[in-house]
Amino acid sequence: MEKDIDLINAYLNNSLSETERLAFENRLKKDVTFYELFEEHQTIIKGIERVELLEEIKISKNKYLISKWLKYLRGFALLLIISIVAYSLFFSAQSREQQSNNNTSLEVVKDSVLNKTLEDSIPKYIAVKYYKKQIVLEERTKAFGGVEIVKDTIIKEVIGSYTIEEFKLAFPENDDFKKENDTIFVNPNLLLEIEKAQQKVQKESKADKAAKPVSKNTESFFNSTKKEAQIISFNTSEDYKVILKEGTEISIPANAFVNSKTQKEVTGKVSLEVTEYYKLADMLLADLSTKSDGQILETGGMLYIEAKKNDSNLKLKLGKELEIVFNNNGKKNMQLFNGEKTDGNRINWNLAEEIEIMPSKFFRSTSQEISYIDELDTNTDSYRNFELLDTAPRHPNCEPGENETLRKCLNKEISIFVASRFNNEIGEKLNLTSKENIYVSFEIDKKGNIGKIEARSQYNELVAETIRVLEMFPRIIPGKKNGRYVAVKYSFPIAYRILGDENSISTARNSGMTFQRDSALIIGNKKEVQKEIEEKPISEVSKSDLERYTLSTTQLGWINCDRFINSRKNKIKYNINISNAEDANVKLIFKSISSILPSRASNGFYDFGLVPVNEEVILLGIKKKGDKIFLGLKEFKTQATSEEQNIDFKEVSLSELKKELIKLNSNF
Amino acid sequence: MSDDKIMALFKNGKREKAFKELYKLYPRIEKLILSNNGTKSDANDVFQEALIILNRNLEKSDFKLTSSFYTYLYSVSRFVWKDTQRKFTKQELHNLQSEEVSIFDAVLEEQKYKSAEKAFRELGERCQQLLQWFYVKKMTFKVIAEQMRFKSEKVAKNQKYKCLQKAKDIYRTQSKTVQS
Repeated sequence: MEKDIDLINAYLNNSLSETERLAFENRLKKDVTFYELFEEHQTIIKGIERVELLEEIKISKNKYLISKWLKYLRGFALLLIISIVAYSLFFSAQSREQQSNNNTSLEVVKDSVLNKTLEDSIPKYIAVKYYKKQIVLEERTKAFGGVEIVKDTIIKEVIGSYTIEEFKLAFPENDDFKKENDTIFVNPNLLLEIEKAQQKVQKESKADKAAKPVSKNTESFFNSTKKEAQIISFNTSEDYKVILKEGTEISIPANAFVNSKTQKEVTGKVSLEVTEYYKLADMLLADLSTKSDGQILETGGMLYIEAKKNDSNLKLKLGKELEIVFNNNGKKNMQLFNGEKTDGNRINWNLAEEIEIMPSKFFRSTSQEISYIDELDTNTDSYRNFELLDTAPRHPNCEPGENETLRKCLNKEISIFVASRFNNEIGEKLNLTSKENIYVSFEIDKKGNIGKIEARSQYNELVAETIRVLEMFPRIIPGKKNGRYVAVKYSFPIAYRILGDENSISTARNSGMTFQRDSALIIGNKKEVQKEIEEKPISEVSKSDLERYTLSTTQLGWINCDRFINSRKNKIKYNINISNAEDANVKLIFKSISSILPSRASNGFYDFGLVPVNEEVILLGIKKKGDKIFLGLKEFKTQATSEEQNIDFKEVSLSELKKELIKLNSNF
Repeated sequence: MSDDKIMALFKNGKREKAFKELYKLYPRIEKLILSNNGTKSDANDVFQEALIILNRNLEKSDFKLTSSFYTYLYSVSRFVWKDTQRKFTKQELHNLQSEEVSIFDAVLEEQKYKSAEKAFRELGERCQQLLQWFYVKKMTFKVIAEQMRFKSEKVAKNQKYKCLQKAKDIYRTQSKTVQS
């Protein structure tokens, strides 16, 4: 090989003798492998040449840009010089003129003094103008999930001091004014409006402090029903941990906050305002729903977090994270989502993305783990080499780290996942006595979904079961290459074995899907992985590590501990006709999966997007007519699209509404 | 500067100067890309690619520039951009004229070199330098061994071979992924 390369180099450098050259060319024609080697070699060298060429082009481009700017600069300098010259010429001419006028200027001064005394005898008024302006009450209402509330605000502006005559002259368009004491009021009608409004506010606040005025539309209605935040004050100089009323634990590292406007680090006392949403009623009253880019999420609790110091908003410093333990026992494979209120007040949840980008690093692994790919490979553009990725796909339970570590950790997570869900009876029925290999390959797409699952085994039953289990695997954080998310091919062999020992099988049967210490199912072909699973029985792993979720967030605002629903049930576009809803706020509550879906209404049709079929749901509508609130509830199963549903709306008071919604809590 | 003068710059090995002159055509190419749903950075990449392809062809003894630099760069840029967009219809490819066929070939060829470049960039810094010195700067192993502090020419040569093999390995895995 090396000799061939030397030969090719010599040929390309034209340092071969005539006979050698002819022999070389002859060999190229006859020897296909040699020809391929030659082609490849040339390609690589041309690739290397590109590096040099690109460098040159870059330099040329910069030179071109510089010369272009120099041209502009020259033009500009010329212009500047011309204007300076012109200005100095003009100025010197003027100063000469001034000198010559010096004598007359005294009289002018005298004149003006005289005028002033004359004018003083006519009374002057302060002119005040009132006008209406629409101002968006943004920050706070928006942050709390309200829509932008635009308010008519009356603004008072002092225009200046004028006599009546002067005022009329100066503002001929303002013919509507009123003189009072020493003030001229422009637009006195607005003044009256203000006075009335002020009186009203005073009356209302005296008469009825408890009953909040219910605002005009349903959206702002939700602002008034929202839960009160819990306010925690603490000193930022130390790490701080707090457990909230409904069991959420938040750990805050020291010096974690900066002012969101000035970006300066904040010291001293800081208050954290947190609202917990675990109960269905709380979520409904805050107009929350669980959807991520059209996909249904199952929620394990939501939080709204705001940090403040002296009324100015704070945000987390780059690199600092709040650690949050959600109080949701038993829900597995949860991930952290950040919420964003989109149009029409609907909340959309986005999978929290890693902020840090790992330094691009190329390393080679010696393992032969990916040896089955060639046979299983299908037509994809995906990367199948973890080594070539900048960042390997990461399971949310894995700590960020090197690709190799991430791969091992993902292996482990998949193993645990498959082991805990694999239906062992299938293996028993097949009467397997020896180890059975199942080769699995799948693709982790750009969004982190598991797809294109393929499995191969002697037994179709094992194949089907493996695919069934892997289809349920939750979304993970996808791999990155050159700063972009890419699809990644992933494959590994599963060694499936039922131990011949009678006892272990029977206990496996009794305990359903838990596994014995000498686990019946061993997954992964690396010894360390096996060991880890063997040492830590799966039941234990799930209890300590999986029951409660510790998730880290780099962002404040809406935070949701969720998982995607990878249900195997059919999904349909769900669009139902509710004839009597009349612009009510309609939601669909899924009993079995802790989900709330919002709807988009048009002409009496309510569109919920993709929805699993045959699920027990509650249709909930809240509408407002005048000052009255109406609530409608209906339970049914999701079926074909374009169903017609009528909701019986009944009038409720605010407290009754709350009671009704609290009754629903048991559904989550 | 006239096309002849630019051509003379190329022939006299003053490539950088020639490129600088050709960059004056860039704004017009940028317009082409921008009006075809590209961004400024796309335009920049496309123009770079066009310059590289032009340079490669000029180095070939059998190449003759039949049109102006502008016309040539314009049609190369158009092909490069369309190719990255994968917007060629079968009909279009069928109706290419012989001139266009050779441009299209050059664009496809360059794609290959680009992935070779990518593979090369995956190498360690030392490997990159070693290969560049040997293949582009045409330095001898003796000089390379001195500069890079290898014990001997032989070690340098050996090292070069290893680096080249590594680049080829990466290139192979890459192109397999793309093809499959």
